[in-house]
Amino acid sequence: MTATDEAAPPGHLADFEQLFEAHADDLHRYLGRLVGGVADDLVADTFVAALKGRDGFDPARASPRAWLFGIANNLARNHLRRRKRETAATARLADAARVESHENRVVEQVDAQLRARQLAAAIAELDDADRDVLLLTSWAGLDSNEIAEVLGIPAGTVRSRLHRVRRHLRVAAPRMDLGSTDDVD
Amino acid sequence: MWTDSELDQALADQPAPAFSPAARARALAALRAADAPSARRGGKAWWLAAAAAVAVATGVTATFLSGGPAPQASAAAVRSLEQASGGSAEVTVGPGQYFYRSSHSWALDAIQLKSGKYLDVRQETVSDLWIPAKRSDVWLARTQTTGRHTWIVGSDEEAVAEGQGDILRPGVQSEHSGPCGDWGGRQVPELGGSPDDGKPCDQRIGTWGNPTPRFIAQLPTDPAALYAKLVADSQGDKAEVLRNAAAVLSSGDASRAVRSTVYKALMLMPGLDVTDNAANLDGQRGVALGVSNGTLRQEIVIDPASGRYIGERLVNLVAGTDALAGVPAGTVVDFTAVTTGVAEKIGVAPR
Repeated sequence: MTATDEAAPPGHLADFEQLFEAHADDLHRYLGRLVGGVADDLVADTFVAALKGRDGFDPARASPRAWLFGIANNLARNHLRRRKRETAATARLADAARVESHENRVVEQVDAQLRARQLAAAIAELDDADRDVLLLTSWAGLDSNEIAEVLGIPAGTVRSRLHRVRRHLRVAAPRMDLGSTDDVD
Repeated sequence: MWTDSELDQALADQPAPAFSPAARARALAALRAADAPSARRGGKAWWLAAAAAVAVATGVTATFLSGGPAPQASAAAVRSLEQASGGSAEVTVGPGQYFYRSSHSWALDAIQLKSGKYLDVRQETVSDLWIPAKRSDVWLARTQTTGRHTWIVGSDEEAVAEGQGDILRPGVQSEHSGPCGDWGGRQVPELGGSPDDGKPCDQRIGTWGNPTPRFIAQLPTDPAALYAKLVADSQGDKAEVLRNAAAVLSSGDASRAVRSTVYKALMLMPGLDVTDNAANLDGQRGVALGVSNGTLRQEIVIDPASGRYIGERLVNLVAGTDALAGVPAGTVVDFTAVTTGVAEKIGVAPR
């Protein structure tokens, strides 16, 4: 089996190593936007969970890519719910959070950055179901059929939910009051 | 209202941290290790297993140090923690009063240049927080970035030359207030949501980093069980265990008994050692207790005599790479001094 062979389930370590080569970077990009530097750990956790749960993978239902993103999405959800404290330290030193905090100081002067920050606050207020559909589309690049497999909902629901959440964000995000989201302690 | 293309651009502009070759190699190594259970030793799995073993061996009713697990921290660390656990004083915030916490930090900021190189600078921030005895009343947070900074890698001149001169701008003070810590009266949104969303103030549970009275009341009272929970909730990250413990130690809602239990729980941490007997944090002297992951050492600083938690430090143990390239081994890259007290008036620090 190879990473691009969608017909057979991955069975051996070598299969997973190929999946890693094919998808690890995309998974990291997706997770990094969601959880910052913890993405390093969550990518590893995603592949370890996939390896251990290989018997549960059904190639008839989902592609390996969608399967991996489904695992990663669940791990990210769990992580976000644990509400990691935001003290800057250890593993976050090398991640974008630090660079971002620096960028934030000039954000009000740059329209694009202001929009990105407004959107981040608006995304934070979405419920899980809406956020999953939006980000699996936009950041993970999955199509509606793949997302339907990941989330276990009909593809038509994915499309209608995506349409609704995009419309909501186009209206709501520009109104985000970023002043009230500044954390101070 | 945005256009579709503006929305797409804003989505594309969300920052994504780089997947460093070292982190990528670690992830691949974790995958390979997971396929070879017999060879698995060290890292998170071992750490969690050890914590679980502690919990199983002792049970939640075990009496610490009299039939409970043996301390795993160094003898010096255990001595300091034992003294601190006996020395903690009660904090009482009476009606109309405020719990006051001041944090004075010099925090690392790594600025990535277009060339990929990083400049590393410590920047000073002073944060003061007033929490009313009745948490649903109005809180006040005052944060001042002073503009003072010390370069570890780089200089003012280099920052300006690279178009990063805004780091030199004067300090800024900001104030936020709101009931229950909801600045501006609006609950601070969190990516992914939170169990506390929309909950009344007295029903919120909080987190390790921002513990509420309910959170603290639910902590195990047995040191071994508390330690197991700290490890599990920190995903086996020892540095995170220390930071989470510190957040409880610096909370106004942690009783003397709770803080004593936290100190006893930390005695169970393998590798925890006294790293500095006379650590100086902003004029406060204490004992630094640290754990290392091989490249960085997270420390908390306590005053064993009074049982007070007085701050934390992060020390780079090896010649830095990536964002820390050029940072010498042994550099304190980040530190925060914490003082707490009871204030009579919001916005006014206690004497």
